[in-house]
Amino acid sequence: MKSISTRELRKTLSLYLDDALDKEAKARFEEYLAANPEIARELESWKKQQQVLRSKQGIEPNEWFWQKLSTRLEQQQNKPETVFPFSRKYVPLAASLTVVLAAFVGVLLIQQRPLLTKYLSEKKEQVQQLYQGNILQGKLLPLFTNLNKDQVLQFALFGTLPLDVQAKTELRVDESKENGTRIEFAKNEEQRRPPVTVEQFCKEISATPAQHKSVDSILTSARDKIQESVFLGENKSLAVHADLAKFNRTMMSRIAASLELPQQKKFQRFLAMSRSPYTFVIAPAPAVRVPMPGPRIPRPSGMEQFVVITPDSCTIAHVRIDLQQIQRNAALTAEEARSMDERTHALIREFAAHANAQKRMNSSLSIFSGSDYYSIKVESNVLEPTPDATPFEVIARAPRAVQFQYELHQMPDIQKFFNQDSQPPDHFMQNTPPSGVWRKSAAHGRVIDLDSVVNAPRDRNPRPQMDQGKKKYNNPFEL
Amino acid sequence: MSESKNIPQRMVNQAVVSVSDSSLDRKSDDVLITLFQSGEEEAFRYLVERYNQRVRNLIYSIFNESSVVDDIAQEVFIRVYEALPRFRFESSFYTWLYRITVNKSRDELRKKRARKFYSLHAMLDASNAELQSKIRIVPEDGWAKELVNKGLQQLPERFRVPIILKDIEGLSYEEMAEIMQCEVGTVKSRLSRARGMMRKILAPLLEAQ
Repeated sequence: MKSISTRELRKTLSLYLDDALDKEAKARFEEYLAANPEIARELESWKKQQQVLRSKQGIEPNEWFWQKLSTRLEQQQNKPETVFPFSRKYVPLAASLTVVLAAFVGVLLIQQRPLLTKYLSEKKEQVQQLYQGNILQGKLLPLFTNLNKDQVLQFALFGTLPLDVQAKTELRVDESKENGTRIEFAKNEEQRRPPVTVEQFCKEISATPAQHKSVDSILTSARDKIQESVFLGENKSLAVHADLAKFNRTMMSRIAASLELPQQKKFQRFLAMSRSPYTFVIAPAPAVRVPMPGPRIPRPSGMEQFVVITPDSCTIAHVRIDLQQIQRNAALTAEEARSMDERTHALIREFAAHANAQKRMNSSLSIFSGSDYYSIKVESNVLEPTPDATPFEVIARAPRAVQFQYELHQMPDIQKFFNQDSQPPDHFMQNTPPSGVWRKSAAHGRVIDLDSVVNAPRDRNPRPQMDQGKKKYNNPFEL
Repeated sequence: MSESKNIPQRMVNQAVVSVSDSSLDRKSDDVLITLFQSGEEEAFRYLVERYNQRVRNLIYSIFNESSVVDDIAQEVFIRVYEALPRFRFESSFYTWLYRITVNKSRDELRKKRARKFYSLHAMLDASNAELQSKIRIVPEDGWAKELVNKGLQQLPERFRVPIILKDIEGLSYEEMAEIMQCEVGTVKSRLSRARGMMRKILAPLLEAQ
């Protein structure tokens, strides 16, 4: 056997020791050992080493090993399942995936930073508004505490509520998908919309005593709701419930639903003659689909959405109002209640005077003001959607549906039209409904086909039954 | 290996016949495992009692610290208890058991290294232990034992395990390869190197004899 490297020698020694060399290799190595006595001595050392290691003493036996182990096994079995829903060996993999996912989300967030910033800013604003308890500080007084049924009916027909009788001002509201929510404080327009009484209304539509009673009941209920919807704050603030703007339509729909078909037709005609900006469709209202709330902050219980106006600001805020407390306050401050009309009028004039400087806390709020009006427009997507479970669909009547002062100011032709046609037609005053087509004088270049408005919705469908039992939302505007 | 795959059914039959027999300690590993897998939990105790000393010795050889032996051995048997229902008789039980023991010991060594690395106290303790070992008066007859134990500890883990498995436990190359999860050639290579390293450490002892 020729000379070999140390490494090769070590390996061969090891294999020889274990008797793992084949016969030929073993014979060659034994020849090598015979020729190299120092390697033979090394082999002897390796054999001694192996003997020493084999004779190595082990650890003392533990007689209690099983007892201890069984105790641990019991504890192990009683331990709750691992926090991970997978085997422990997948923890590193799961951790790696989590890191990758976190990195991906991080990159995404960085890329979408402007959108995210905008979103967070809006949320912050909403949260601020949500807890803006200081907007309506001090005592609150319900503005419409002494409405009579005629005034409530006026609200149903025209969306107007009287503010100051002396100053002849009124609150007007409207809500539609196209135009959003509108709230206006302005001079009343009795010259173009003569006051309507419940008696007159019932007589016009030839209501039966039972129907008269139903209308009375609806108006009484609505009066309470209106009382809970507009508040005057001690700190020169005014709060209007966001749902007030659609409540008049709800009322009109409910009144229509309480009537039989002949009365419904007369009601439509009455609306046209009394120049109501609304009419209704004699057919079951389409199913209302309330849009998903989207990424809004959930409203805490007891909070209602109000449009809150102060001389310095205008905002939409969630406000918790303790009605019982307010009623106690109202009872205690009768003197304040007596002067409320003047105070309200003065306050609205102040709002109008400061309209340009008023801070709008929501970008979707628009303010219009003039010498005799102060108007707020809210985009339709801002307010929380509420189900409008009306039996009949109430729609705006164009073009006479222009009812807001700021719109009239923006459309001088229409203003001119109303000014020159300020008196209702004689047949209305004589309780005789017009027949056929009523035409405006050709001098103004306008032809209004009332039949197309009044009789357009044909009553082929039976009148739907009102479902009084179902009250889904605790909304003060729900009848 | 192919023969061992045929064992289970045969062993099941045998187990069914002999389940009422109280002398479980005379049954083979495969029978005990089959009994355990069929719900006879008592069989596990016989496996533990049969192998716990070998497992403890292996751990003791790897660590040379009696204080950690029982803890690690218990961890090993807990792992065995959890995995035994899935044991498929593709290797002998003790090879499988040794593999679990070696893997568990490796994990513990890694943790121990990390602890030493991060813990100043551990470093101080280690230096104290080292100092104490130098000044300790070792009885004449215990000198060889002490040298062997210390020598093993001086070997890196990947050389320590093969020499323990071969020269202390007396396993074959194939069994070692299965336990160490590597090729037989690697086992031979590592073992020869480990023996060479050990030869240098034990030189005073071997030359004195």
